[in-house]
Amino acid sequence: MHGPVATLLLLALAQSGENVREAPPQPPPHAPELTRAPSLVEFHPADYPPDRLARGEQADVACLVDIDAEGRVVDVVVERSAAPDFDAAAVAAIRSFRFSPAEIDGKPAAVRIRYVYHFVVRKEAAPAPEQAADEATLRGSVLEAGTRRPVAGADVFAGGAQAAADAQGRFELRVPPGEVELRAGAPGFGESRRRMRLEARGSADVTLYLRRTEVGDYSAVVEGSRPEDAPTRRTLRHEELVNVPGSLNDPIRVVQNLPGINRAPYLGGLLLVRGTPPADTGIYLDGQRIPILYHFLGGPSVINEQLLDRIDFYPGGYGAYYGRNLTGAIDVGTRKGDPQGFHGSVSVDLLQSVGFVEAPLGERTQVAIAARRSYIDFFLPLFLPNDPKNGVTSITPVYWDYQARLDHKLLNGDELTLFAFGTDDSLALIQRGGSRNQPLEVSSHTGAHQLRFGWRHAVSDAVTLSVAPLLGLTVQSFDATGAGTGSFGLNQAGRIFDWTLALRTDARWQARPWLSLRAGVDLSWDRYVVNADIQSTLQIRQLGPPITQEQQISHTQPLGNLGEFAEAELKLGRWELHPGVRLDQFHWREHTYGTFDPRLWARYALTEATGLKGYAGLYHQAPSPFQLDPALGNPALLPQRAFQVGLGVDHRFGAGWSLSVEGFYDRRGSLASRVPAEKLPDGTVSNPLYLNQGLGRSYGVEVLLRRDLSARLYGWVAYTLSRSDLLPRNDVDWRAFNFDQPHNLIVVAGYRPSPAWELSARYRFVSGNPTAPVTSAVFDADSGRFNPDSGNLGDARLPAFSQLDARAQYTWTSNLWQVSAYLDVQNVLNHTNEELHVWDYRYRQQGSISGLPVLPTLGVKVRW
Amino acid sequence: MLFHGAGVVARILAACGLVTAAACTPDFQSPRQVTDLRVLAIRQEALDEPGDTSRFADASVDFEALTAQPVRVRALVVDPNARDPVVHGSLCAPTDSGRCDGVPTFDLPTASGEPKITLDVPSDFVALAKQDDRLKGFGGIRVQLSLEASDGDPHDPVMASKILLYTTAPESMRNQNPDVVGLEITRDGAHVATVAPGETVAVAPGVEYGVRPLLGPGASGIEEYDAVDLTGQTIHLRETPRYSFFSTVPIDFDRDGADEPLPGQPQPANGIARFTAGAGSGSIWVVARDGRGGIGWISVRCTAASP
Repeated sequence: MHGPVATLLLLALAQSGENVREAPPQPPPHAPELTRAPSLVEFHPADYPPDRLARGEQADVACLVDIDAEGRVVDVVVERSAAPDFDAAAVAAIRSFRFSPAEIDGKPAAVRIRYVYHFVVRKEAAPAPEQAADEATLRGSVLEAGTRRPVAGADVFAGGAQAAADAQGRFELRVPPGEVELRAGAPGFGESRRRMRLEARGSADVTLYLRRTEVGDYSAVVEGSRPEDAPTRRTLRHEELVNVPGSLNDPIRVVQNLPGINRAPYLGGLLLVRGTPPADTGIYLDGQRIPILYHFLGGPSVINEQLLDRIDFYPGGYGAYYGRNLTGAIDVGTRKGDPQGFHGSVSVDLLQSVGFVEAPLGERTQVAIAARRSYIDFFLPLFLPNDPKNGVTSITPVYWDYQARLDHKLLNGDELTLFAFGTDDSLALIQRGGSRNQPLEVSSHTGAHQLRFGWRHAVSDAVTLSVAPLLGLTVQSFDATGAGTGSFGLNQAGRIFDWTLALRTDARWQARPWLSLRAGVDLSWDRYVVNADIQSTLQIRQLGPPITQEQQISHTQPLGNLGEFAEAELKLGRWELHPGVRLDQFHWREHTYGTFDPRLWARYALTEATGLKGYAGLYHQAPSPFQLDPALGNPALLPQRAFQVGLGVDHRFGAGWSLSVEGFYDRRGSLASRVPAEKLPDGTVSNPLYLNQGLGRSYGVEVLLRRDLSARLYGWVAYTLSRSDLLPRNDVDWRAFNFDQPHNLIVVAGYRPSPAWELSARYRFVSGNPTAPVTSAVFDADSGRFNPDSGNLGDARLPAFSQLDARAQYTWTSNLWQVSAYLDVQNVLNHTNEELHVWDYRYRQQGSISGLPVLPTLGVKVRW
Repeated sequence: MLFHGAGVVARILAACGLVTAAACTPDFQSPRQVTDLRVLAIRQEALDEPGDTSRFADASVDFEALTAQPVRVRALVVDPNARDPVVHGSLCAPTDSGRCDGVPTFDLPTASGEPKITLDVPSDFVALAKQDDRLKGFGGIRVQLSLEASDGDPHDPVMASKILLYTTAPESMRNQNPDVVGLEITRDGAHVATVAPGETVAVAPGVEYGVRPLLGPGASGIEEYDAVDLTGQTIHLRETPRYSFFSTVPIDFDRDGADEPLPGQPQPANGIARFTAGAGSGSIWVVARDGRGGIGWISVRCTAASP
């Protein structure tokens, strides 16, 4: 006898199953979830190759099976071959299968699964009739060692009986009483055996743990029916995020390796999207804004990687859902806690410790909690000057963050989410002695806390509604205690409390199979309470050099933003069209401005594998609260605007490779920029501090060649050719943006030779940042310093940046937990990269400050 | 939303970054070490009429009559190689580079070892300066004096500039130059000597001494004054003088500059700067800037001989 044993492992759903890709869709506030896995309802056995059967040869053929929304098999590809005759027999059999439709978010959807067809020669021994009456019952679970997650489809044998574990890893066997050997196995796992004695008509419950012997699937991820919202969207999923070298074990930093992001110096977390300032890119967590994404001084991201589901990065060209950003958007999606058991992790390295736990609370509720605390403040003083004679410097940076997510599904299918998020950075600097004749103490603190609620309701099969209110508090403060002149020469202090109320609603209607509509509101209201006693620099006419003056600020500044958006998704033959419109109303003090942003993106499928894509749209953004402050800025500023247009092509090669090439042009106008005072014709002086006089332009080509995430290999090549220029005011010349980098090449590759090892590497080659060459210098007798006579920024550049990073991780697995140790080495070749030119006091000698030398980081992570 | 652009926080972070990066900074020569031709200071003195006296640093200007008060300019030009520098000057509207290109130059004759000249700005220059001014003479005009000093040094000419202030402010708001009338020398906090301008102080080689510049009385020291800012508000301010220290070999200061302690702040125990001399003799210069364009200095000699 022979027979198939099905191993059904969900791999990646949807039409393509890629994990970093250009076009496929995504609804920011809600990650699609596989709510029902497909199950085999119509099985047709494969024809066992006769010769093989005669010789007793067995084999496993792993296939990727595309199943449509009605459960039909539409494609079968051999992923792991056994032999041509075995492969052909397995493919022919699987093509005739029929499955129950899978569901994503409660609706039938196309999915891709992995199906392993086992060719097994069996010798069945039918139990004697008298034995059947005495049979014992053997129940249990088959779990993966280390993760304790079920191994669905695992084969279980005992006493001549056989069963396959279900989706929860459960099995049940009826076996003859007496001494039996229980065996369990699955493709990619080693066999687990246990001997036990069973009484007649007795029962036993047992758990078997299987250890991986082959590199397994990364996980079951769903990327199916997410509405398209930008042709430029690049999604990174958790599995390919966690082990990219140079990211200091921080997945969210990996986004900086995609095309469209300029390199930030050192370990800085500046998000320099398409050559624009970080403030022009919106940062979102599950579709709603967060104040910061990274802790300071190159620290990690403020979201725990275990809670991370995906990162969507839009360098531009996104739809109407996102607004009030001039350039890009980054949306970090979190995931629900594990519904199947208590899991967690602890990670310890030289900089910080991170903890994470997740568990179900009943059948309908899951919880996930994460927290982090740095301890750089303990180590950094060891490396800083501490010479009582020449001066003492003390820096104590501290950061911590927390996230807690609670998900509950009501009986009517509605989904509720409660999410708490907080981050806190504080930094203190103390200098005594040395070149200072008065001590100096400065400190800063930034904290943000948010409480979010989410409700998702399916009105009908075609209409869904989600509502997500948010309450937030952001605190910024600084204190400086010093004496004398200079930036912190005199005492100053400030506190800014920003209370935020925000609301996101989103309604979707699948009106026709080819038409879906989406509309919603995006509201936020901020109330800034500013109290500051600062030394501001003033230019007073008769007094020559600018002087510092004490300035006391105490006021409340409201900022209100109301946004409404509507967009459609049309699929008309080879065309995919996404028209959308967004209205924003900006309110600050007595000023109200309305903006109208039409946006359109489209894709035309030239072939099944190749498509053309393009977009055009308007974008508006309010000036920063600082620029609008009545004491420090100009409340009469107008919203800033940008026009973005792009055109590109994407192509999917075989074997998991894909290519995207995209040209873009961004034109920004009405940028708030600092202006000098002017005398008006009536004899008065106008000193608005800021006016909407700035212009900016960015243009270039972004290329992404990508190898999809597979069992062993992933990676990509990202190349950006671009320029970014600024015109700060209308009476100066265009100049390069500070981080204008014409060439930016990044190669990332990861390889898992075995379940225990993971090796990865990253190489970056980036044009040097623009500089202004110094030709001479003139001593300024009023300040006592030399002023360089320099050209425009961009007339020269720093040498190109080149760096290779590498990472190796080894994982030890026991039944209940896993321990991973990793070594992440930045700048393996110890290449000297100049980050900054410095000069002697009179600009005769030039030197440079280099970037990181070779920098190894060790870390340990425990998971259970 | 963060208060993007809140400069103070950004500067705190930048300061910390710079401190941590300080170990990687190249080792350049310090500005306090005078090894070749240098312009260390330029001082403007508005000349009262009649005579050669001066009460204020900034000069007055009358836009109706297009006349400006004459000023005397003195420069502290030093060269440890004891060569006589030739100093040229030129006037123009303020430039970003600090240079006056394409305008006539004039010589600054050296008297008593100090380049000095009296400038009488002609009326057409006043009119031109007002026209070129972004604020069209609001509060006064600014005229840039550029100097070029040469004495055969390979890096000749050495360039320097100073903004000459011509104000419409009343006398109560005008500035006076600080005067450094002496240096108090201390050792371990104990008084050693007070040195007047041009005098020589004898010290022991290899021993650290403290230096405390002594400002003149009244307006020659720290002034309190009223000023009008660009919004038209009258504000009351107080000068915060800062000193710069210079020396030639074999004298070495421990810092380039120091602030005058404010009232109520503790006086440093051993001067506000310290120096050590090797065997031999050298020069010391201390320049005081009041933060609003007023400048004064003191030059002394120092000898260090083993007892």
